[in-house]
Order: sequence, then structure tokens, then C-alpha cells
Amino acid sequence: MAAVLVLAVAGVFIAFRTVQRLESTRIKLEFERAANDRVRAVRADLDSYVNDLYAMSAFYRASYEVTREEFSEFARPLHARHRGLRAFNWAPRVRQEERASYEARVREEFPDFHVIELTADGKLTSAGSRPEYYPVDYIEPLEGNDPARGFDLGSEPRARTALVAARDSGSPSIAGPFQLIGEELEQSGYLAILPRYAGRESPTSLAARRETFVGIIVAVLQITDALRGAIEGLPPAPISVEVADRGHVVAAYRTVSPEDAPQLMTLRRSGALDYSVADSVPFGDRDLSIVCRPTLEFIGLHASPLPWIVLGGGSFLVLALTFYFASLRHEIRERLRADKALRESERRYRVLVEHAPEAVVVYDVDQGRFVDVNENAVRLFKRPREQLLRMNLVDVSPTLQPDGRSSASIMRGLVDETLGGGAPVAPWLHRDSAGTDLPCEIRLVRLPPLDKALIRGSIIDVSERRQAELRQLMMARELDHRVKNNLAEVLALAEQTGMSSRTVEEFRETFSGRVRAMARTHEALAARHWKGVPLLEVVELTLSPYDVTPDDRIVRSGAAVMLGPSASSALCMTLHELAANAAKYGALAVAGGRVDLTWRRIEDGSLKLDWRESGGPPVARPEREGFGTRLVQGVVSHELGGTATIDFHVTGVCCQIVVPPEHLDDAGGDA
Amino acid sequence: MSDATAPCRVLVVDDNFAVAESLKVFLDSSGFTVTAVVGSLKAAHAAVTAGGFDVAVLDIRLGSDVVTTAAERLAEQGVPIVFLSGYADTDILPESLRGYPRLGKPFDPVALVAAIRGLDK
Repeated sequence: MAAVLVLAVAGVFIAFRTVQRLESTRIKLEFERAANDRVRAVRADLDSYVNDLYAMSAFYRASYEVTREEFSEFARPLHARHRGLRAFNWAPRVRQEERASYEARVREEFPDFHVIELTADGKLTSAGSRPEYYPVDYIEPLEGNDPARGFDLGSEPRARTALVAARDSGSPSIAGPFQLIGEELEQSGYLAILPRYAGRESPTSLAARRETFVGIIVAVLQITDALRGAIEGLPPAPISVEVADRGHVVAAYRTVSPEDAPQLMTLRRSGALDYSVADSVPFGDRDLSIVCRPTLEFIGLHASPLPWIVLGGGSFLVLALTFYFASLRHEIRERLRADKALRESERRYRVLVEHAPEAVVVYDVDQGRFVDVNENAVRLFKRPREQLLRMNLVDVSPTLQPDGRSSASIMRGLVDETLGGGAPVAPWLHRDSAGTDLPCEIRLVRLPPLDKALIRGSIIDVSERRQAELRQLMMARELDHRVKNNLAEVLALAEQTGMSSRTVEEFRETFSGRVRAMARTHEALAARHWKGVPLLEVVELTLSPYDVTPDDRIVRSGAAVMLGPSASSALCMTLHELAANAAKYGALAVAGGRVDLTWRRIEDGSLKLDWRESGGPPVARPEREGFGTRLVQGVVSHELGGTATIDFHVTGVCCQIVVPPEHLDDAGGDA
Repeated sequence: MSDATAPCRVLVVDDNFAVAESLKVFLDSSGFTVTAVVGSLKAAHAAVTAGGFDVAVLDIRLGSDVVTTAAERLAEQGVPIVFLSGYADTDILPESLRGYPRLGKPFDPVALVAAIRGLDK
């Protein structure tokens, strides 16, 4: 990011510098065009003065003699055309010997006329004696130039040098610069001097030129005015122009003002203004130099705001893009973070939903269908997911609920309650694809977002719970039944025992023995879940209370037999009665008595038990059949449909018991 | 079904011998004549076939059987029935038999006598 920013800033700066350079180049070209125009104009102007001299010379050559009037006539338009031209003069060559006649001739027109010269202290005086004189004679225009009349140009050294050079070469020669006299604006002046020879043909040798030399035509030039005149004919441009003569500035136009100078220097140093146009301008036999430079005004006039527009616009663009990309990056990061959070949340949601122990559906009320279901829902309703996603809660329910109301109308109420912010929990009868009704409990709750009507349904199949509840209820009833039956039996035993007991002591002993036998049966049956008890176990738990002496007096033998529940309790009671009787009156009442208990299965599958006492006191048949005897026979016959026969043999009581096969559990084995 | 002077004859069906014996002793001493006491569904059917009683006192559960079929035969014959059961619920009996009086176990002697007398009238 930072690197991109640096590159962008650098790019903007490079663009700015490039445009700036192009601008400078353009301004420079503009400048050079205007400067060259100026150089050309100045050159043409200076040329024109020399040309005027030639024109004047041609005029002289054409006429035999040129009068003062003719001179003025010819020179006037030339003077009017050139702003820098102060005057045209004609100065004849006057030899010493001709001086007096010459002065006399001119005095006819100008009585005060003398050939004059400048003294050392700057005063005009009558010229001293010399071989020859070049007095200014014809003057056009006269105004302002009057004082120069009669002035001997040959008396001034520089003028004389030029005069001689002109005479010898036959070409124009320049004298100056002079400080011109009588000017408001102090400026340099030049004399452009063209020699004049007698005759129509130009002399071809130096000797001939010296011999036929008759005078000079002089153009008096004000260089500053000339410069101004040349440039002001051009389209204006703030360019400074300086004309120099052999290193000295002789004229300047639009020079730099002192207050602009430092700034201009700075600009030149920076390269923005480091250009100029310099050229030489031929002026007669002189070469002037001219230098054009742009001024601050020129720069201001031609500089365009383009570089600054590029810089400002570019900077703004970079700034704007920086902000834009920064905010974009921030936004993208935020979005990525949000997306990640959303994905994680969705994954969590999926795990929560898919691994929920119950069936979960998401119902879209507006679409009227499920928009999500979990695997448990697929299993519960026995329908594929795609099918469920076209259905709703009513579609997977029977038309009517158990209370007779329509599923659709109840569900509407539940949905309205849920959308209103409730979280109803209701028993609900669903129906799977096989048509099986599923008692369920549904819990509804509204899901976000609130601009959608989404409801999560959590559905628990309660049929197993129902069955468990039912089983529990049945077990409770069964227990109730057994307790009541047992109480009824205990009550019946108490009544029967009471009727056959002679003393309370006897009742207590007999009754408690019988109830204990019941209790033991109950315990054994309960331990085996009321399915039945092995015969040997019934025998052991019934007889062991009476088999307490060190020697085994009760001998049991027989195959393993599994008794049904009825036979278990019946034999328990029967054997208890036999043992209790033996302990009281029979073989177990005395030392040396014994009991042999054997059993076997007989042909029809019945169980036959044989109880045989021996070694006890002699047995006498009781006068009256006691309850104990009736109990033994009654339990076996009444409860089992079997038989029990008691034989009061004198050597000991014998009892044979037959239990029908339906009360035996052959499959159960001896568990 | 019976005239007022003749003792009312009763069939007792209960799978527990002691309880059946106790019922017989009680009913005999209460002015009834118990003509048969049986403890299984099979024996109950035999007793119904044999007949010779005016009222039946029936235990509902007989071992692993339910007395229903025998009771239905009695109902067909118009013999009044008093059910005795340790079960509090009635749904073990078919609809047709639910109109008969039911007494819980252990039986309440006064209620039993009242129930039989009520049927007998």
C-alpha cells in the first residue's frame, strides 16, 4: 500500500515536472519567435538608414547641383518615415583656401554663418585654421538642429575618423556613439556618413576617391528612438532588448525594473528563464550586438497553469485514491472477517442442527415450506430431504389431532404465537410417510432475521417415552395387584389358621411359618423376575430351616426341573406344610428320624415328588383332617390342577405330589 | 332366578387356594351355599358347564389367564357375577362385562355380601 502510494506520488511529481518542462520549452519557443522578430526589425531599421543615405547619394548623383530646398524636399519624407532619424545633413568639403568664399556665399542666406568648432571647455567658436573643413550646411529638419549649422565635422576626432574611412572606402561609415546635444531624453547618437564624389561615376581607386571627394551626406541617428521605432511596429511582447556597441550598451528597451531583478535572477538560475536571443546587427561598417531576454511579465503572460493543474489534480487524485483504497481495503477486510464469522457461525449452526438429538426443521412461513431439515427429521418422517423441503408441518401430520381439531387450524395458532415472539411447546401428532402416527412434542421458536418469517421446529418423538410411561404404569398396577393378592392370601391364611388353631401360641407359630414360606417364595420369584424358580431351590429354601442338626436328615434327589411361577409358589407352600408337620409330629421331631424327598418326570411329562418320612414316632391317622392337610392337597389341586395324596403310614407320613407339565418350564432349564 | 327361601348357590373362582377356601368358609357362614370352588380357567369352564349355582364370584386373573371367556358364558346364561380383583383398572375386561359389580382384594365381607344380595334381588 505504502509502496503504491510512493509510486503514485512520484508519478504525479514526474508528470508535473514533465508538463513544467514542456511548458518552459513552449514559452521559450514563444520567446524566441518574438525575440527574432525584434532582431529582424532592428536590423531592418538600421539598414533603412543606410539605404536612405544611398538614396540621397543617388539623388545627388542624378542632379548636377542640389540646392538647399531640393535637399529639404528629398530628405523630409525620409525623416518622417524614421523615428530614430534626427536629421539629414549635407557637409561639403571646404578647403582652407575656399573657406572665406564659402562662408561669404552661405552668409548671403545666413548672415551669422561661420565655420565653427567645439572648444575644450565645450563652447562653440570659429574653427581654427586647417587644410580642409566639413561644415554642416544643409539640415533637414532645421528645427532643433539649427545650432549645428557650420559645425566642422572634421574637427571632431571620431567623426573625422569615420569621414576619412568613408572617403577612402566609398562606403558608409559610422561614427559614435556621441552624447547628443539638445535632447530631452539623453541618448546615444550616431552619425552614418556616406562619401560623395564629383562626377556621375564612382571613383574606383583610392587616389581618385581622395581627389574627387566633395563632401559627406550624414544621417544623425538617435539609437534609442530607432530601437523604439523598430520594436513598436511589432506585436507587443514584454521582452527586454539591449543594443550594445563594442561591449557598451547604447540603447535598451523594456529593461528589467530593479525590484524584479532578484526574482528574475532566481528564475534564471533555476533554468526556467535561462535563455535569451543574441545576435549581431550590421550598421554600416559597424557591428552592433543585440540581446533579447524575457521579462517576468513575459513569463506571467505565457505561463499556463497546466503544471499546477497536473500537480494539484494528481495530488488530489492520489489522495482520493488513497482514501478510496484504504476504505475499500478496510471494507474488504471487514467483509472477509464477517464472511468468516458467518461461515463459522453457519458451520456451528449445521453441527448444532445436524447433531441435535431431536428432529429439527426450519419453516419459512411466507414460502409455506421447510427450508432446512436435519437427518433426524428425515429419519422421523421417513421422507427424503428433498421431499421434506417441499412440505410443511401440517403436511407431515394427520388431518386431525387426537383432540379432534384440525391440524391446520391448531398449527396456524401455534405459528401466530411463535411469530408474535412466543415459544410454544405442544404435544403434536405427526404422521410419517408409512402412515404411522407419531406422538411428538414440538417446540417452536422464531429465528432471526426478523424481516423473514422463519420458525425453528424442534420435534421429539415421545412414543418411546409414552411406552415407557405405560410400562411404568402397568408395573405399578401389577405391583398393586400383587400386594393386594398377597394381602388377600395372608388374610385368608390368618383366618384359616385361626380356625384350626387351639391356642394363640399354636396360631402364632403356624401362621408365622406360613407367612415366612410365602415371603421366601416371593423373594425367590422376585429375584427371577416372576418367571419361575428351579425345584431344587424351592426345596432348599423351604426345608433348610428344619435341617439344622449336623447330620443330613433330609435327603433330596432328583433331576433338575424348572418350575413355572404358579408351581413355584404352590410347591413352596406344600413342602413347607409337610416339613412343618414333620418337625412338629413326625420324623423331624425326634433324633434318628429322616425324610427322603425324591422327584422325577413321569411318562406324561408331569413331575412326581415323593415325600417319605421314617424313624419318627408311630403315626396315627388324625381324627379330623386339619387345615395343613387340606392346604397341601388344595394348593396342588386347586392352583396347579395336580394331585397330592397323603398317606399316614404308621412308620411315617408319605406324600406323593404330581404337578402337570403345563406348570413346568422345560425351556427355562435349571437356571 | 331364585326364591327367597332357598339358600343362594354360589360359584367361587379364585386361583389362590387359601383365598378361595376363605371365601367359601365366609360365604357358607353368611347364608350362602358355595356349590363349587375352582382355581383355573379350565376348571371354571367345567363348573359353568356343570351349572348348579345362582351367582358367580369371579377372580379376574387366573394365573396367566383371564376369566373373560367363562364370564361371558355366564353372562349369556344370565348368571349374575361379582368380580373380585386385585386390579384397580377395568380395561382388562371387555365392555360387555364392565356393568357387573367389582370388589377389590382383600375382599370387604360386608360389601361382598351386599353385592351378592343386590344381584340376587
